Amino acid sequence: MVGLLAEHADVFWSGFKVTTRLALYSFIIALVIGVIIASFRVSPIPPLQRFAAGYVATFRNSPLLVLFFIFYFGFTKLGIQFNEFLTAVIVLSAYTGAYLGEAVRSGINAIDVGQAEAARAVGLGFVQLLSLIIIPQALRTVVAPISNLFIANAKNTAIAVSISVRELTFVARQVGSSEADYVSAFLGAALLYMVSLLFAGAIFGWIEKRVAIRR
Amino acid sequence: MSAVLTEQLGPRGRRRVRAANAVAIVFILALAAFVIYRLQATGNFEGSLWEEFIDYETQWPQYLLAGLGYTIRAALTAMVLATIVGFIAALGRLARSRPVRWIARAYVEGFRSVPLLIFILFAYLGLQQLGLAFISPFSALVIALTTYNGAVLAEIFRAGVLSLGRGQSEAASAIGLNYWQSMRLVILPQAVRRMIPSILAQLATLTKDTSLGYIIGYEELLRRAGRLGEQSPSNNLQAFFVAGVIYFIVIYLLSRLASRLEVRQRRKYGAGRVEAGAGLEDIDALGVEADVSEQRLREPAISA
Amino acid sequence: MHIRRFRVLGLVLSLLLLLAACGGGESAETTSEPAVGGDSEAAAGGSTTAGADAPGVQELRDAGTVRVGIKYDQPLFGVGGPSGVEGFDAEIAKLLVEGIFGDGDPDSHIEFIETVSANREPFLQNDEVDMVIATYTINDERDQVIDFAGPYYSTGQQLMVPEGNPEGIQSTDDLNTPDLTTCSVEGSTSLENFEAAAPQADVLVFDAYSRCAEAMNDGRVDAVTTDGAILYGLISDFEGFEVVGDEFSEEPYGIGIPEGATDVRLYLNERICEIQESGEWDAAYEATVGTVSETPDPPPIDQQRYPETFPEGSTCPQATEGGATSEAPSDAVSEPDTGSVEVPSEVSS
Repeated sequence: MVGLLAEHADVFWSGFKVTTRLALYSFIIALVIGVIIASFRVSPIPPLQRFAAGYVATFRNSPLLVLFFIFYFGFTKLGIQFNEFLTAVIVLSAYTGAYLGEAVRSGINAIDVGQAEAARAVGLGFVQLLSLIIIPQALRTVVAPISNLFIANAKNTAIAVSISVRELTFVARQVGSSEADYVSAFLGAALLYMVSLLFAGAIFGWIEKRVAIRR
Repeated sequence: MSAVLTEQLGPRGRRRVRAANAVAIVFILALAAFVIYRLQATGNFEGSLWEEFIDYETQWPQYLLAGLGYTIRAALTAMVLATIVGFIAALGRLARSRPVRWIARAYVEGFRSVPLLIFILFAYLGLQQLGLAFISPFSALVIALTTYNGAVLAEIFRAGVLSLGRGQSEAASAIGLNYWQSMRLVILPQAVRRMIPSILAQLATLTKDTSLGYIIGYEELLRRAGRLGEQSPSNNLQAFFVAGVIYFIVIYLLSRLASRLEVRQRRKYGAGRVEAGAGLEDIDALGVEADVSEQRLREPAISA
Repeated sequence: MHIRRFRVLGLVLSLLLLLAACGGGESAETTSEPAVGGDSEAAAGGSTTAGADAPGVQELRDAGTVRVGIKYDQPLFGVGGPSGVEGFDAEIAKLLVEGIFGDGDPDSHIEFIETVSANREPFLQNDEVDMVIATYTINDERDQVIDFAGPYYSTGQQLMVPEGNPEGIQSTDDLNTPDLTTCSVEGSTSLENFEAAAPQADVLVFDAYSRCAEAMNDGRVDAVTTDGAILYGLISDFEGFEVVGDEFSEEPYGIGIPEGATDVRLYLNERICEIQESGEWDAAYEATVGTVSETPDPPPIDQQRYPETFPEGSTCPQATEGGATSEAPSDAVSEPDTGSVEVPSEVSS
């Protein structure tokens, strides 16, 4: 197995890089989406609330693979032509964004009422209240779920094989097929995933220690 | 609506909210209109493209219902097996001997740091290569789903047991029960009851995951619908959309059931929150928690 | 999985068949007479084809149903629909199975099971199907894990581009640049051939050719590459495409069977020869692929690949042209009659 990995190290590495880029870009965008969705949910504007609720329900209850296909073949029907990588980023962020929205929302609700009251007393408007006081604290409350979502999102990048994105899983399958040794190829890929995700988990653990508010 | 963040609005506030309402509605409608218009322009609403999906007599049973049947078959089989595996692994995690705990921990942590798809591909392509001749898309999918969800469920079970607090196990030993007896008679019955919502939520996730069987050729709903979509004229998009809707309905119902049970449990049994706290799937519980905590925040305003 | 039930059904069916066969031996000859000019040199009754009595074939007969792996999404070759599977592969399957049961009702003895490109070997290895007739190219790599009968058709890999050929593509060299995107299917020989011929090309990989066609419709890819036969099928479905360039590979389509199923293989070769001689092959082609292309001559049965090609008592004209029959095993690799002699190293065991 080591031989196979060594021989195709460059291919595996490029696949790994694609996976990493996919995971990072989509998660950052998902964070933004999540904060926006959560804000909609707690806002006093019913249409926004319902839109956000619908968004969350739709994406949480749909399989990612289905979403990939619908978006990939659907975007073109809308007249937009995104390449495979970009489509994957968009779908992943939309999907994880829904989950992050819920996480942030639970964080918002966990914040003491006093904070909002104090902010109002000082004269802050709704948007200011959210952006300056609530969201920062909410995020710090839910660091653990956020880190779990990051790991889940990174794992979901594998599903992009279905639209021919050359990430780690795709590459592993290709190598396995050409060498007729799927076992080694996938074991190698699994190892790469494991190492990097455990590492990511450790980083988030460090962040949590530094930043999290315990309730 | 979160009463925390907005107090009673005065006239200016109400005007502002109404304005914001209007803007929001216009914006959302415009977005929807754009999407519908573009789809219409590229001919996606043509009757002929959708005909096949209304055909209850032949197309539905053969493709969509058959696919759904395969999906459910894989999901249920995997769920049952995963429950067994997860249970054993959880016991391992809670065992008293350290090597056993360590092995269980390795299994759980290991399987949760690798994408499920890798397991599915490995189970199908890799196990065949190793000579296991009986591997079919179904068995590979079930094996992968079982081992993967077994790890997730193990964590849920463990959290369920731990959520009882030491009081129960201490009381049990106080009346003379040994480790296994207290497990069997006191801890597990209570823990299991608390875990049911999480398990149901996990079943919903599992159903979502069976769609990945597509990639190894398992005839689940998405693939079957795709078959319909390949016949001319090509209506792939419509096929995927219909499959998506069906999946959505099934999964939505399952997770609604799960969260309803969870809310009911909290009310009945108090703070019995199973904080498995890891893995995307468990975040469904977060959504419930967000709902519940919102309710709690609202209630004081009423009862005060 | 769900195939096991047919074992019981098969026993009942074969009992009935025995009764019917005793009584209706003569009528079998007339009912299995092909509708198109049946002046076949071989016997008209299917069950009297040479090699049809061998134990391996008898097993299939006993089962009552032959499980045939076939494509469901290959226009003109294998298209799955509510009324069953249609296409050239399906017609060939019916003709071959008819030869096993000889009762004029091949449909009742066939169970079509969908096989996508990547599933074909696994399904044979795992006994999920008895044979695979699914635009299945014969090659040495596959021969190592399964066996092939035939070929029953021959095509070659080509390129498909949007009508009018906007990029002016004429060959794989034109596509050998990352600026142009080509599409093919995971696990297919077409993909391997193309990647070997054009390593610099940007390639999109899907699970079915119809996705590739859809992608080309959307303007995402500039060319789709696979066997000409499949490309013609896509054109008949999608329109707005055309095939360009010469065939840059030889793709003989064969019948995939489990490794070592010699009885079945010998019988199938004989039967293929039969239907070629009788005109049934032509009729099947004209009804399907022939609607968009001219009917070619059927390719000769491959006699170099295995020690034996035809069963004892074979009446196939090709068998006497220097091929090997089971009466003269292993040492009778083809004589110079047919021209080039293949070195035995090409014959896989």
